[in-house]
Amino acid sequence: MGAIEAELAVLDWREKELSEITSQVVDALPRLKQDLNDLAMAAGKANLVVKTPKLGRDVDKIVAEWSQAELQVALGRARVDLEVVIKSDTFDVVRSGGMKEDLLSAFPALAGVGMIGASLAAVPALVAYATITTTTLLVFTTSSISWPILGIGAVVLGGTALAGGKSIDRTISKRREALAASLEALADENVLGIGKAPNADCILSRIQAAVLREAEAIIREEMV
Amino acid sequence: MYLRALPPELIDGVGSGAFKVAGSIIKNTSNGQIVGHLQETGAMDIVLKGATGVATGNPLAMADTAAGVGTLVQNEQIKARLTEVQSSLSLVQGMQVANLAVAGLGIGVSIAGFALMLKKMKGIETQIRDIDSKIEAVTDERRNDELQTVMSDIRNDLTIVDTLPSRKNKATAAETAQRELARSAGRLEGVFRRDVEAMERNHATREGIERLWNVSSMIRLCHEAGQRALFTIDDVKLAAEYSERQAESLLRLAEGVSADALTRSYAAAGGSADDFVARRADILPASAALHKALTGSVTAITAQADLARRLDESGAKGSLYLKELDEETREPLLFLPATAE
Repeated sequence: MGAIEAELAVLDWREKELSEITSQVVDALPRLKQDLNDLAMAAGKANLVVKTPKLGRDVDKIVAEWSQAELQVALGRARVDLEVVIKSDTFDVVRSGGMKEDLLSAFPALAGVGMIGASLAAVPALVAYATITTTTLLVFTTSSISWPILGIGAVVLGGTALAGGKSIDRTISKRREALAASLEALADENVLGIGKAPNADCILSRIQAAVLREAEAIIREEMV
Repeated sequence: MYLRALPPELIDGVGSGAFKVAGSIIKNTSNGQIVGHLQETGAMDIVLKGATGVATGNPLAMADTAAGVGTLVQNEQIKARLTEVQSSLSLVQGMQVANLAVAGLGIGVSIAGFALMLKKMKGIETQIRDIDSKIEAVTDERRNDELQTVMSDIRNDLTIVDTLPSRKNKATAAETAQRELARSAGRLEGVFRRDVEAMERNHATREGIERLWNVSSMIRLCHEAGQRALFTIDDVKLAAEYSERQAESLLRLAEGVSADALTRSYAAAGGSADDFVARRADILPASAALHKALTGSVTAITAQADLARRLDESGAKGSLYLKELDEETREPLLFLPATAE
C-alpha cells in the first residue's frame, strides 16, 4: 500500500507541475514575443530585402535566454514541491518498508506522458541529480526546436533600395511588420505547439520533460 | 457486529490534524499507523438526498440525468454540502471522491445495490452513444464495436451478480462473474489507453475527454460489482487480492494520462495563443476532474484492499459485513477499528 500511496503522491506532484509550467509559459510568452518584435523593429534594411533574413543567431539567443529563464523558474518551483512529497510520511514508509524498487520501477511510467515523449527523448536521462547543468538539460536553438528558416520572400528593389525614398520606406515598413508577425506566429508554434500535432516537440514540452527528468534523478538519489 | 459508531475523539482528531483520512483509511498523523476504516452505510443515501435536495434518492440515479463531467462537478458540490449536514461527514471534506454516481462516496465497500448499478450502466451506455454521435468521424481507433460488446458483457455479469442470492451454486456463479468483470475491466483499460493515444496524435475533444470519464466509470463499476460478489460468498481474502490488483492496474492507467497533456492537446487546436488560453480555461476543469476521478479510485480501492485484508485476518464473513451496511438506517458512516478490542 505504501508504494501505491507514494506513486499517487508523485503523480499528483506531476500533474500540479505540468499544469503550472503550462500556465507559467503561457503567461511569459508575451515577453518573448515582445523581444522578438523588438528584434524585427531593429532589423537592418539589408535583412528586410533578402528572402531569408539572417536573424537566426539573434532569434536563437532571445529564445534560448527566455527558455532558460522559464526553465529555471519551473525547476525551482518543482524542487520545492517535490521536497515536500519526498519528506512526507508516505515516502518514509517506502524507504523503511523495502518498497524502494516498486517506486523506482514505476518512474518511467510516471514520467512517460505520451504527449511529451518526443521532448523527453530530446532531454538526456540524468544519472544523478548532481550532474544536472543547464547545458545538459536543454539546448534551445532555432534548429533544435525546428524553428523554420525565417523566410519572408525576396523583394525586387531598384538601385535606390538601400538608399531610401518614400515608396521604398513603405515597402520596408511592410516587410518589417511581416517579419514581426512571422516571428510571433513562430513563437506560438514553437513554444506552445500551436499548429503542430499534439505530441510534436515544442519548448513547453521540453521544459516539462526537463522537470520530470530532474524529478526522476532526485527521487533515485533519495532512494539510494 | 464488525462496525461501530464513529468515536467522537476520532472526528475531533481528524479536525485537529491528529488523524488524517486517505480513502476510507484513518491514520495517526504522528506515526502513520492505521487507526481504522470508515465505512459508508445504507443510510448514506438518505443523507445524500437531504444534502443535495436531489429527489432521485440515490447517487446512482443522479448519473442518469447528469453528463459525465457534469456529474463530477456535482460530486464536488455534494461533497461540500455534506460537510454541513452532520459532524461525522466532515471527515469526507478534502477527500477525493471518485465517481460518486457509480459507487456512492467510495468509502469502504460499495453500498450500491445491483439494480442501481444496472441502471447506472444503462446511463453510461446511453451517454457513450450520445458522445459518439457527436463525433463526426468515428475512426477505427475508437473501436466502438468492442466497447459495445464489453458493455453488453458487463450488463450480463451484473445481472448474474444481482441474482446471486437465489442461485443454487452461489460460489461458482460469483467467482465466474467476478472473473468476467475483471476481464471486462481489462478490455476497457485497453479502450481507455487507445483513446488517450489517439488524443496525443490528434487534438483532444470535449467529447473524447467525457468518453474517457465514462470508460473509467465503467472500470470502477466492474470493480465494485466484482468485489461485492466476493463479499457475498465470504471470500474476503480474494476480494483483498482483487482490490490490490485493480488499484495497481488503475494506477498504471492514471500514470498514462495527464490532465495537462489532454488540456494542451485540446487548447493547441486553436489558431493563436489567445485561442490557446481560452480553450485551456474551457477544458481544464474536465481534464482535472478526470485525473481526480482516476486517482480517487486508486485511493478508494487501495483502502478497500486494506479493509478486506483486515476483515480476512479477523475471520470476518463478508456476507455479514454487507448485511450490517444494508441494515444501518441511522449512521451514514461507521467505523471499523484496525485492531479487535
